[in-house]
Amino acid sequence: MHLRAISALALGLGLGLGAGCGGTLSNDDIAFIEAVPRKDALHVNVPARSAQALSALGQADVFVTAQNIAAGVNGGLDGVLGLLDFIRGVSPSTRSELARTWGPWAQAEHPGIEYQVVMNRELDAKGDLYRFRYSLNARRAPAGYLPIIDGYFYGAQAKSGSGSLNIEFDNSHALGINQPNDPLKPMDIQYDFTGDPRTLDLNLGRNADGGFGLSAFDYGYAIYRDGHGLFDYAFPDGKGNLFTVQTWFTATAAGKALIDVVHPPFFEDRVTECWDGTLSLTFISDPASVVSQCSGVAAPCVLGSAASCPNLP
Amino acid sequence: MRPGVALCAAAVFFAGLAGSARAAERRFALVAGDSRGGAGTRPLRYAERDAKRIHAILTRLGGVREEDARLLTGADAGAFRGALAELSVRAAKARTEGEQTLLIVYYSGHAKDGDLRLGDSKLSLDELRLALRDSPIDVRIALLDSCQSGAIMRSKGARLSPAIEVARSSGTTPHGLVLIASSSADEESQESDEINGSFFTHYLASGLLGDADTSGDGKVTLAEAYAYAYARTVGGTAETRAGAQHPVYLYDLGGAGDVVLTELRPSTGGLNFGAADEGVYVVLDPSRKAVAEVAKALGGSRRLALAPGRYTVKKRLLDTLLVGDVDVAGDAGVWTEVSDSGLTRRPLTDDPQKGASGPRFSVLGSFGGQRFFDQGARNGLFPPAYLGGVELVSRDDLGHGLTWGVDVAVGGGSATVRLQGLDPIPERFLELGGGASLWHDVPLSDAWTASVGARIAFLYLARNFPGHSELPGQNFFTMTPGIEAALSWQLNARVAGTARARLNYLFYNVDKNQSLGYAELAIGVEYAFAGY
Repeated sequence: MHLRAISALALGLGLGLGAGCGGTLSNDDIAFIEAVPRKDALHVNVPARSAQALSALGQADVFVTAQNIAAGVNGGLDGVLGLLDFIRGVSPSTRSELARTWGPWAQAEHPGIEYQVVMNRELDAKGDLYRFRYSLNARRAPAGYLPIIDGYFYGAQAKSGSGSLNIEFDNSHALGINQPNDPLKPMDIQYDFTGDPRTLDLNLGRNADGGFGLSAFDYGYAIYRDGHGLFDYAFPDGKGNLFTVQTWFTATAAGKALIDVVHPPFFEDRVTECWDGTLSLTFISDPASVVSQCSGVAAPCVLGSAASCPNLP
Repeated sequence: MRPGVALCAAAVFFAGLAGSARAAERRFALVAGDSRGGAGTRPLRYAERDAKRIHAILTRLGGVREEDARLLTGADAGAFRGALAELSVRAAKARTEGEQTLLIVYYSGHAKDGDLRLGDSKLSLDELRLALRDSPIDVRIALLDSCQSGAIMRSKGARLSPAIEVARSSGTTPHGLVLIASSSADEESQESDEINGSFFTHYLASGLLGDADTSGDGKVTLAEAYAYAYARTVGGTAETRAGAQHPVYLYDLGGAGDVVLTELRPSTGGLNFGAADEGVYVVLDPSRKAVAEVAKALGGSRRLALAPGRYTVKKRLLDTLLVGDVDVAGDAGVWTEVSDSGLTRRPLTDDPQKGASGPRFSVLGSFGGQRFFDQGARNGLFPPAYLGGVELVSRDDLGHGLTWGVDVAVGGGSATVRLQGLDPIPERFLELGGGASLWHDVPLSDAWTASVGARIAFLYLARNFPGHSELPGQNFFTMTPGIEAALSWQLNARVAGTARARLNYLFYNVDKNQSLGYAELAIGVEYAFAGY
């Protein structure tokens, strides 16, 4: 009887161990996922107006443009960065001590295309974490994978580290998975969320027409903890002029813009504008009288009071 | 006066006399059992159960009121002396009030080198004998069931004899001292796993319950009980490795001679073994422990006065068993008939006394905690958890003392994952486990049982991360073998309290291959469907 019982237990033990073990319980998975920035972490966020009112000088169109450009940048990036969000909903398909792979998977809107994400954890000579490297690849099988996003991240947590992404729009065009307004050439993104301000640089300068319907320019964005920030951007007007703008704003949308107006081929002018939280212009300084408010005003054009400008650099 | 009426009147008259005579008698009992014998001894297995059996018989059938009985289990010599002195004072007071007094002292435990061993304390046999000799109580009876207990007979008059020679001097009430020891001064007193008790006490109890009533008058006298216990003890131990055990006695009783120890009164009930059958019948309680035996000859009936309840009766034939369950009602004067024709024939392998008559099921509810030994594993992967579980237990299904169980447990809680460079991440986890166990029960005493065994189990764990929608839920499943040990305390016939510890092995293979160990501690309550 005892022998029978012990045999049964041994059989159960064997069968049990044979059944194996497994699952997705992984602290390392958490570390990998937290190293990939969310798409909304790379958004340019400029404040909206706090109330509706207009002064005699009119609306601060330059800041409204800033809001539109920010929305254009965010929307353009969301399309491609959203592909990375796939890894947040599922567990990796392969694991090793220093790597994870997700996919391949397919997207309904891109039939015949397979995606995958590969992440590597790179260590320094002492064996400590140096950086994460990740890439979103796509292919039309049986062809090989082409990189769509290459990224590096330094730190442990994307929301408080620094890194870069290279978005290979040329590959997305080649595979036919691009959006209509996507740039034709690669775009670089640098971000540094380690201090105050948190900065984000979006390099569309390699593209002749910028992409996302924007001008070719290296867009820069910084936001401080108290809500004030800076946005550098560029936009053309219908007369062939290119406006490059350095816009400072407060958390309540009041701001100050330094607008460099380039008149091809050689002439440049600098306009200073200030506005309040309702986006009503309170001050204009336009030495060459190029802005519409200075139309008919003898140069140099100065409207409103400089004392009304918010306390910004 | 019609003859029937005259008979009734006479019965009432004599009953009144008997009643008044009984009212004038006051009985006291000191019953002690101790499994521990101090240095140089091994714990006995049934000493405390023996004491409880004798205590129950004396208070139920022996005319000892509950308030006049003292049951000591695991007590030291001081407590024994104190109880003896206290009863002596009470008896002396009763005697001064005109009552006839009787004291029965029973002891089951170790004795060595002339001393009773109560744990680490000692009570010399000489001290006990002198205390009883000099006691003012009318009748003092000592029943000692311990090794070399015959050493108490160091005085003139000790006898190694199958029967007590009763001195009869009619007209006066009995008075004096009787010492009965389970073995002679150079013999061991033996226990038996089959009867779950010592030989001497088992047969003494069987006799007191009725099987020693050779006269058939419904009363078991001291002489009848001794003669029965002597014969059955010698017979029962003749084939043991230690050899035959011989009870001895010292009889120094004057007056009316014999003393009635138990009465099978009309107010009691029990089993009646009819005249048509013969042989040795063993009566078992629901936990398959022997309550009494009946060695019956053809042609006469024999009664056992038992407490109400369900019993199993077994009779062994040459190549088969007769087994049956019987109920003893609580109604006075109701004697359940037992006959061979009412028993079921079974193979010898189905001996219920050996626990082979089928499994005895119970259910164990438990609550406890789980903790992994590896600090890294406790960080979110396998955090300390509370577990509540239920286990179905089957005893005596695979062999005597061998028990199997299947269990399931559920638990969980909250924890925090702390990874270098990351903000702490809260997690909620759910744990589900279950397994099959096989263990061996080792009775430590009548109430305490230790168990050791092995278990193969599965473990499923799932966790999610509140406030972190970017992190998908995770899970893990594995088989986990282990060993376990438990200590149980039998609270009553069906309920036992249990404390259990498990040590388990777990192989984790997601982040890296890792052998982990963890412990589970739990307390629980076990309910037996069939009673213990």
